[in-house]
Amino acid sequence: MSMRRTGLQKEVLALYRRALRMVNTKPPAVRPKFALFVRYTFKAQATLVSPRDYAAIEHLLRRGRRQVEMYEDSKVRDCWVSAEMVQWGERNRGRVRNTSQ
Amino acid sequence: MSFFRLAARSVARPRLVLAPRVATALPQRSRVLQYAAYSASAGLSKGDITARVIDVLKGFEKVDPAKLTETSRFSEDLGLDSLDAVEVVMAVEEEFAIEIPDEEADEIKTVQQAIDYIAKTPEAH
Repeated sequence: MSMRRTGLQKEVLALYRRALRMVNTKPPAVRPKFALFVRYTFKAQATLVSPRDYAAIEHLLRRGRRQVEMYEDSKVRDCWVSAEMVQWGERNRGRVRNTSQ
Repeated sequence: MSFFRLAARSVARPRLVLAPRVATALPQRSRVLQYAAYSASAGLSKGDITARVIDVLKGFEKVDPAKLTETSRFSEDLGLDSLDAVEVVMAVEEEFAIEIPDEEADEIKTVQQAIDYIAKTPEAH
């Protein structure tokens, strides 16, 4: 991916930030599942799309925004993660939280 | 998370201790005192900020602690992609109990820039 931040890339990063903030509003017990869902959706799925395929990225952005909006609802208190997501999560652990926190 | 626990503790404890002494006559005053004591601890030294930002980055599995210094760039030196960088900046936000607006968060691409942002943000704890 080019280091130059295009408008589209900024929109993707903003949506990722918004999705991660949504995770923090969920009950602590289910936060890891929401976090895995968000990270998997962006990192594993998004890499399948070419950075030049603007139409596909715009489509995913629109779909992602609708999804985040849905998940932001405080009535959504749990989310389903597939075995594939869990396996991906084990290979890509990201932030290993300090247990004292 | 840790901030909320800390904040809750610093508010709750003095109230428990002060309540019998101040009695019921001055509930307003004790609230003011608690606020003053709380904000007094907000001043952060540059060294403190640096150590905590470095600690946050060490919490990421992708980051090689051997390569991690104040001058490290997220992408070139630490091998983080733009999505990782978003996670790093959000972890810094959590650590210092602040929220960085999108425009400014996008500009934080090195450890030094994260430290500088915290240093110029009075709300950071």
